[in-house]
Amino acid sequence: MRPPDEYITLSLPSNPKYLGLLREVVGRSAEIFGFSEEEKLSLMLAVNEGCANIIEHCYGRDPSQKIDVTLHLLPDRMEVELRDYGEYFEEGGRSICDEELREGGLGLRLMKSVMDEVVFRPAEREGTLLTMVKYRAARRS
Amino acid sequence: MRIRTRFQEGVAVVSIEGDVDMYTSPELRSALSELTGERVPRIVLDLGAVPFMDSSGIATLVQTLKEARPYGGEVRLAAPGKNVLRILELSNLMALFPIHGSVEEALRGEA
Repeated sequence: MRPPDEYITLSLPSNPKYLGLLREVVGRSAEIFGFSEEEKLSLMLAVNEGCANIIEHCYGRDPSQKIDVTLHLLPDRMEVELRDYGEYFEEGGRSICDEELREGGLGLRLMKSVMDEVVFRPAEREGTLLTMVKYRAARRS
Repeated sequence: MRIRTRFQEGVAVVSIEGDVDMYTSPELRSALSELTGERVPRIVLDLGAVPFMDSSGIATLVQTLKEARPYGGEVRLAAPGKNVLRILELSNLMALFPIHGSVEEALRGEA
């Protein structure tokens, strides 16, 4: 029988001082889920960059906002959802000034280079839902 | 994150301890800008105790290089661990910075 899907959820303030805590949770979760050291770093980096983008671009560094993080363990992969409640963030959107785009651009590039899927879409009612998927190498076909 | 700067034979050796991320990188940027502002000719960044670096850390390294180059300054990276090396690789920065196995090698200019 297929084991039930498992979720880890975390809601954190949009303050950069919590990024280290988030990375620890993601890293430990990756270990528990059986990801390799390289895959663990990929997950930590991608979630870190996703949240940093939200803090910078969606909330304009306002530390009093909220980011919801869900780690969803499936038999062959981890799906990460980052949900914010700010303005809809569109990759390369007009609301991002050039300076922000340069730094944000590197974050996005890193996320895309270490994850198998990276999808931004508007969340229900407000904000953005960023979904990132990482497959386990041992089970990747 | 802790930053310690010492001078050895005119070279600034900046030892960083801890993660360099969006929270900590402004402090590092400020410390390094102080050195480039004084036109220190060579800066060695000891990354041996940095377990993790994100894009804001990468941006800080690039900014330091941009500040140092106009006066002929040099920025060398020493002892990066495998996580930091991978992030440097992913950011296509391996060719931009001389990378050395240890601070001593960076001081001697050996790869």
